[in-house]
Amino acid sequence: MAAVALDLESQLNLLRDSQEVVELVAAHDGVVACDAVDRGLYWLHLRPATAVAESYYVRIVWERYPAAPPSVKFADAIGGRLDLTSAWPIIPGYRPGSFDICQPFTAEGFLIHAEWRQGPDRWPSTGNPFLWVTEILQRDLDHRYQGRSG
Amino acid sequence: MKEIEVTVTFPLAQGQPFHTKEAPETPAGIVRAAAMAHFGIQEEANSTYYLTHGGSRVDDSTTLADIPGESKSVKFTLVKELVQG
Repeated sequence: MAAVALDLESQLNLLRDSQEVVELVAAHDGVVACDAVDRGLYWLHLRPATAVAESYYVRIVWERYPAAPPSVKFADAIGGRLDLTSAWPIIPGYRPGSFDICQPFTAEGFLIHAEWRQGPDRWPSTGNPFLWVTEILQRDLDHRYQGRSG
Repeated sequence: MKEIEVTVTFPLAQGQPFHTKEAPETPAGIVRAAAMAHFGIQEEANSTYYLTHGGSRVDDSTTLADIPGESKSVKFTLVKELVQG
């Protein structure tokens, strides 16, 4: 994905909210990295609680923050390939074959389900949505993880 | 017995965390309901809400006195979990 020129307000909001994300991920022995050029691009190195030897690398791209949901993809390393199904965990709602997560917290999910933009599934732009998205990813890895995709 | 100071944070909250003082025998479900009201959250069919403490889910029936290692104060996080897959 080409770097998106993230507006200054979004950059400042992300800088503020990412602090709590770092604390959460570090508490789970993970790592957060922000791209040096694209300020809306973050990488999370997460581990399932039940399989701590496994590493998953999540690329999160914000085009507007906190107004719009992020693109969420798994890669084989920080800055790595995004076209490998083996980079993905098997978790209900995660679709390695389509390289997306069909849930109402990703840009990919809202693209597929336009009806989610209204009603209870609408994107929550209040508080710290970056932390919320990260909590979902970590919780899914901890409690809904079924192994690595082939 | 002395009341316990309770704090509930919610990642998607617009305002400040929820603070209250409750008796030790108060079930977590009472705290959760009060926190949800504070944050302006209503139950939704596609989501479940629960409290966590130290990263672990706290059942509604658990009393504040049952929270391990806590006697004077306890901090919870309110979690919104998406149901659909």
